[in-house]
Amino acid sequence: MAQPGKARVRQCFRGRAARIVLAAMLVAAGAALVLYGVAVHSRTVLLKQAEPPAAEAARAIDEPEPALVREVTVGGLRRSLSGELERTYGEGETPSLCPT
Amino acid sequence: MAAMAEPRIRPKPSRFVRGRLWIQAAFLLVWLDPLALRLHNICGSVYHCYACPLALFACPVGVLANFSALHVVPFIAIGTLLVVGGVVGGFVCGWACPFGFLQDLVAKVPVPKVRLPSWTGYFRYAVLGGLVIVVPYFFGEGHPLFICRVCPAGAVEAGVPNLVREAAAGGSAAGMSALKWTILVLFALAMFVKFRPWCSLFCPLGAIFGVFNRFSAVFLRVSPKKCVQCGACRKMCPMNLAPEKQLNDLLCIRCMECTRCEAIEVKTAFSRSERADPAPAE
Repeated sequence: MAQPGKARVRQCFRGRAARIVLAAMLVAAGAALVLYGVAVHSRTVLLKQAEPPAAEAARAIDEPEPALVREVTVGGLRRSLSGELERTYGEGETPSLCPT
Repeated sequence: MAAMAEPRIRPKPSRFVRGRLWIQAAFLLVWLDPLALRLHNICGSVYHCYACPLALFACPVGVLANFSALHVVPFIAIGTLLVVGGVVGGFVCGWACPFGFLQDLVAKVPVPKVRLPSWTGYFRYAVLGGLVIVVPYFFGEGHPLFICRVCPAGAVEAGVPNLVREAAAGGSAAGMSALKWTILVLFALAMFVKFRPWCSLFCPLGAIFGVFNRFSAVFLRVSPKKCVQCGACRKMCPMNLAPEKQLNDLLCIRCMECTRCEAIEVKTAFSRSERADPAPAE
């Protein structure tokens, strides 16, 4: 049977090691998500036409996640009834600026 | 009956803790974007409204809520919170958050403070789940209970400055909604009678960082050898916690006021634990 002092040292080493591993895993997972969001993740956004000809289909662009983040900070995006993302302002217009 | 042991309180807080307001002020200067960089495609890690005319980064809570309304997974926001939370946890609330700093400043006004039971802090998780995730997801950003529409930080940091700016420019100054004004007035009053009312009762970002308090690389530790159970740390804790039992609690903002007690110290995952010390020879 291990001596109490040594057992405590072992237990603490496990606790300390567990904290290092957990914190490292959180940071690594977070960094991976940020990298994925910056480099890979994007969504198609329908552009609003300033003077839309009724029959013309809306133009769409692929926006990376950092651009989506910027858009939501100015209230520039909404989800349409059909589930697509669309801009709230047309080309040449400025967004509302305050999303609230 | 055993006599109460003498508390081991340092005569004054460490220089680091005494300088907390200055450190918060330094962070505020950064968040206020003095170089006008407007990096709104980067998600910040503090509660600072991105509709503020002076905001460097995007508010993580606003991004989470808006992306929930758009039915898009916010990888950048989640990743940022994981990285920051994994390293420092709730230290963000106590040392870097500008909205917490505002509440700390107002709390300096010598008015008797209400101390609510610490369990009321769990209401923050209802705000996080309800107003940040569920309401936006099912009802969109137009719902009156969408977090940005009821957020006092938005009222203080964006609503009022934009109102002043519009009025100064001779604009219409349509202003904020009646709901937002009501929240602003109630919040302003609450700041005088309760320490950090938003942080302790409602803040969804604090709720997220609170979870990391138990896992973060930087954390607080109480030394069982030095703790004499005098209860002095409870009186020092502005969040009404019992630090000797709830040291890395979900509600702790890591203000480090409790470190005035010699038994409580800041540690990192890499520092040698006191518990690892071999037991003294009998």
